[in-house]
Amino acid sequence: MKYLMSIIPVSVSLLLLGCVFCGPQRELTIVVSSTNTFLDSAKVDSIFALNALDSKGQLVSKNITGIQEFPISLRADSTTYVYTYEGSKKTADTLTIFYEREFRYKGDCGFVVNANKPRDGRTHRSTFEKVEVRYGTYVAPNSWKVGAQDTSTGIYVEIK
Amino acid sequence: MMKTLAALITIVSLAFTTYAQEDSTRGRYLGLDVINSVPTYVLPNWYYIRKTIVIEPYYRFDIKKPDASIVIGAGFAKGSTHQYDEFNPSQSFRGAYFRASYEFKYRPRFISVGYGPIISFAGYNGKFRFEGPTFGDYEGSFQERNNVAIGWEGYIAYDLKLSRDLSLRFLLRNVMGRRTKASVYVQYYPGFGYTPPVLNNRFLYSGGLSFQLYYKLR
Repeated sequence: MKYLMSIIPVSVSLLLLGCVFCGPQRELTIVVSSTNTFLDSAKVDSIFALNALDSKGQLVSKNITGIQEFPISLRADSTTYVYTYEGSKKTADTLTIFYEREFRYKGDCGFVVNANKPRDGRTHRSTFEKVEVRYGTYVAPNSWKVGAQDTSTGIYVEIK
Repeated sequence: MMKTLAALITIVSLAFTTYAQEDSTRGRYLGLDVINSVPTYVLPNWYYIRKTIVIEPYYRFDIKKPDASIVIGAGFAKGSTHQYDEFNPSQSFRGAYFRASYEFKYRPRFISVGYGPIISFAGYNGKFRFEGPTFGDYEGSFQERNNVAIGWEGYIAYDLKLSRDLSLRFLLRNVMGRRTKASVYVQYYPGFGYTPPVLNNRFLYSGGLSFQLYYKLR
């Protein structure tokens, strides 16, 4: 009985750990997908992030594929990316994504960070004609179900 | 806050009703524990709290019942915890606490056994850091005021007589309690001690060794 009593708390906490979703407790990333035919045909030289640390700003060079994952700044409520081209009339495009950072304490996780849709409704500013931003949470609610899946998706950007 | 106040009044009135039974022929002792602070200054990088002032005065008096006594204690702690890792930097804390216990001597083993309630009022502040390899780290801070914890403590103690009036008490304690408002995990709770991060940080469980110097009043 003594042994049983000492095992119970351990197994209970293991169960709790299995269903707690903390999200990435570091710099967040967004997913940028492109169905823009210009991006497909243009020779993208590189994609830069503004206000990045020295030498960390260049996110992508050459051969961009359909779906990219870019980091967003935790030090501001917006992040701007600059696309530069080679062998095209157009020399650059910019894409700014707006979000609202939320730092809070979540039990069993510690501090967590989320990026929400801005309250003023402004989602982006860009030289790309059609951009769509969808906001999903980075910190999914906890679930008591066994084998529950993390439903966090984060921010998803589509350049059309 | 009302609950807290009620608990405090209970403890104080408990102390006073037992105080009424006291008479001058029975032993009365004044105790002090300041040794808790020593390792935090001597070994600040190895101990779990650093540069922490811990002052705990005690008053113990024997009651009518043979070999039984009541201990009333207060405490004050101010300091900071050690940094565990990048994500959990150090926390500063400040707290005051009160405890009362009923204690009896267990003659065959030369020890005393005691138990009783403890209430602790604490405030915290600290920082947290999110790693940002591309744009730089984000450092935030948090502050908590008026955190209250109520608990129950049990201990065994051994008294080493140093002279006619002085004795040194070695005390091994175990304490568990509950925070009335639990949010941020605290690495050290004044009056309780180090507590593991389980069950949403609401429950406190701790144990430890302490040394107290007692002076017999005449």
